[in-house]
Amino acid sequence: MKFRAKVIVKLKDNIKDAKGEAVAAVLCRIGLENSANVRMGKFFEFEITAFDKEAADKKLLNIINEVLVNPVVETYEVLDFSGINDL
Amino acid sequence: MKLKAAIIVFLGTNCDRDTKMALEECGFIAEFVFHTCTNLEGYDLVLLPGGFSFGDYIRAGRLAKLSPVTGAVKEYVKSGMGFVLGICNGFQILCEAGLLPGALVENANTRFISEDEPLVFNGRDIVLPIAHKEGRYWACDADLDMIKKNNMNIITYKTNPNGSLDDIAGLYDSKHKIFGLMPHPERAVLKHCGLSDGKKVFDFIKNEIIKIRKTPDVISGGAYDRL
Repeated sequence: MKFRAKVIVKLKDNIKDAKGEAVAAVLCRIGLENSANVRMGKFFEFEITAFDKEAADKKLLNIINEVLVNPVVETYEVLDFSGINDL
Repeated sequence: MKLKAAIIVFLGTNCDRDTKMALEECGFIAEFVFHTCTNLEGYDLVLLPGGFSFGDYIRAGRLAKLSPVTGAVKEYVKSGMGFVLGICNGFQILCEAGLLPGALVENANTRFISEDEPLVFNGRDIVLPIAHKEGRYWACDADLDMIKKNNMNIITYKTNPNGSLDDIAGLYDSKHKIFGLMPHPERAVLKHCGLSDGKKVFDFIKNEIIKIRKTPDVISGGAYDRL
């Protein structure tokens, strides 16, 4: 079975996000939003092949923990993880 | 007898040659070792140089921590064979690999900073160049307590250009056998570089290696169990 994952990785909330702050300052300066509290992150989209959903979940967690995220400074969110129909 | 250093070359490393020249000037024998290497036996120093290993993709040092040589560095550390030094990207790799606590995140001013920086190294004032964009040191409270308790913050910024926690520019591990730092000592050794304090760092490391050699300590249990 094939699955497609969409994962967001960003700095933990207690760590200053300098890029997000720069974007927020611009939003404020151009008058679009004065308290945007921007946090910036990285977006990953990839495919996983596994025997079933349980095995795919395991693989996904391994990929996230070993490669995508440093738990010391980052946190993640799986936005979507669903099967792809092989036509 | 000359000490023998392995300079690890990842794809994207770009300070390897400068580091070799600086090490040789300081009396080491230095060899390049590719990141696919799995055995670091026979070296007194393993040095992870600066650069952009694997293009800094995902995060600086993230993909390099998955290279075969990183496993070999862990074995090298566990067996107490010698000293490990990570400079700039090398420091980032050591943190990503869990060999040093904390992590390096983007500079507080979001810029790439390239300056000669006043520092305090082991109680002495020195000046070394820095050149990085992800050099802001961060650690959780528990790690910061451990760093202070074990005197691990051996090199600090005087003016903290990147917003690092507690002005930390570099770190020892708790056993003082792994040392990572953002500044570039190898760019302050040869005459044409203009600065000379890098030699003080390499001389210090030489003494540390000699200390290790005099008191061979094969590490069993404790600090390196988690590797």
